[in-house]
Amino acid sequence: MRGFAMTDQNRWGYTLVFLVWLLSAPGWAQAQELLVSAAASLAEALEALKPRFEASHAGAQVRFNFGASGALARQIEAGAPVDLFLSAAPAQMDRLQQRQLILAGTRVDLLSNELVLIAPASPHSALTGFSDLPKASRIALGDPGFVPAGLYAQQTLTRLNLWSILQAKLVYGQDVRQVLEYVARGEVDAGLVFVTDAALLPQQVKVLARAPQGSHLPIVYLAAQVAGAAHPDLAAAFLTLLTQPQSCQIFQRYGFTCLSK
Amino acid sequence: MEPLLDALRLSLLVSLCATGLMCVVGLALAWVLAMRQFPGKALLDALISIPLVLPPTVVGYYLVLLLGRNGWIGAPLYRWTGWSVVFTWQGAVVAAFVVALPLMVRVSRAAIEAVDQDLVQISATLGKSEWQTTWQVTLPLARRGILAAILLSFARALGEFGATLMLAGNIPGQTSTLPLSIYSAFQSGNDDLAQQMALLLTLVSVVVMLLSNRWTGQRWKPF
Repeated sequence: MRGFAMTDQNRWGYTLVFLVWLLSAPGWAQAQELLVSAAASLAEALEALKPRFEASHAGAQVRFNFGASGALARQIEAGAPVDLFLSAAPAQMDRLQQRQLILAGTRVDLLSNELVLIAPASPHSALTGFSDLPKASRIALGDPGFVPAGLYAQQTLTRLNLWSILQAKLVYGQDVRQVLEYVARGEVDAGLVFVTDAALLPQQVKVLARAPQGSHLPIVYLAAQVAGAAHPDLAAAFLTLLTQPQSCQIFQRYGFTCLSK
Repeated sequence: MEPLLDALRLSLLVSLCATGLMCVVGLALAWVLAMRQFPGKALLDALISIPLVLPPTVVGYYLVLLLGRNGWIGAPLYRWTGWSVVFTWQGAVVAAFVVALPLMVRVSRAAIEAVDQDLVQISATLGKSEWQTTWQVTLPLARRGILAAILLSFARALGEFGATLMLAGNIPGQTSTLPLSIYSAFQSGNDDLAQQMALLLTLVSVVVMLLSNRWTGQRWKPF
């Protein structure tokens, strides 16, 4: 037992080592860390772009904060130290612009996407399209209050005169990826997500139909620098990268349409 | 006002159902843990208490694994009945029940253990069966503590968020209890509604805690 007894001295030593280890948690000591809050649907495409940016900006690190655009906008309103905001709908960007929380001059329309109706791939779904939705028992969509994909979905269902009929069957996801997850797990019979989301899980979900043309507001992804951010130069550089043709190729590979030339 | 009242009504319905379940299951467990010795007792005690220390999202995750359409219990249930507890108000009840059960069991177990065992034995020597003794001696003597346990677990059920979101989802009018509605309203930028609902929930919780303290403040001794 004696051998394990700690002297006061090395007890303090261990405590110190432990504290240093705690405080060296990733993300604390980084001086040049660009924090990008981006719509959940952009996750894979942005992760693919990240090495390219970091390679051309020595010492810089990009960290992403993915979520529902509305939730991300709320975080920025509350003072989150975000450098760049990428929203999946104009409403959230407008809200921040009204409050002068973004640099309006940097605001740019980046990408477009498509809204699709999906169902679990197995067991074989009895649904074939929007008109079959009344037969479903549970349908998932993003919370229209703060998830852009959910708002577009609400507009489409309203336009197709299905919204009020389906009301009691709707399950709200906290972001578009949760909706995808619900469908992939088979917890719901159908869900509304972006075509780019559905493409990520081709084994688990199948696309039943695309939302009819004009049934929802145009889907626009926007980017803007956040006012008073810590790394405006890096943010501007990342924003420039996003609009370059090579980046557009990556976005297209994931199924997005580029809006900026 | 309407979303607020909807959420309140749903919250009360879910919490009352969960509390009702707890009064049966929780009280039985408390009695067994207080009065009996059996192998695996410590394990059972620990299992019931786990939701006290696990994050509710983890509890919710296990519940989905267990009760989801592809879950261990959920899958056969769905095959036989075509019904799944996920994304239903009953799912919200299950989540609230599991998360609040440890409070119910621990507090009422303490109340039952505090009953003077001499009185229980006297009841036995007077020829009363164990069942009669439980109903006519033990539980009446422990009633203050049990009442406090019921109120505490009701309050916990009322405030349940994480496990509910995982198992029951966020369905307006069906599983959007007050805590979930507050979250949605806040994320949507609807600060006024979020504030009203938060105040309402705080008010209800304070009243319940006051009542509960009033009962636990006095000792549950024979009078």
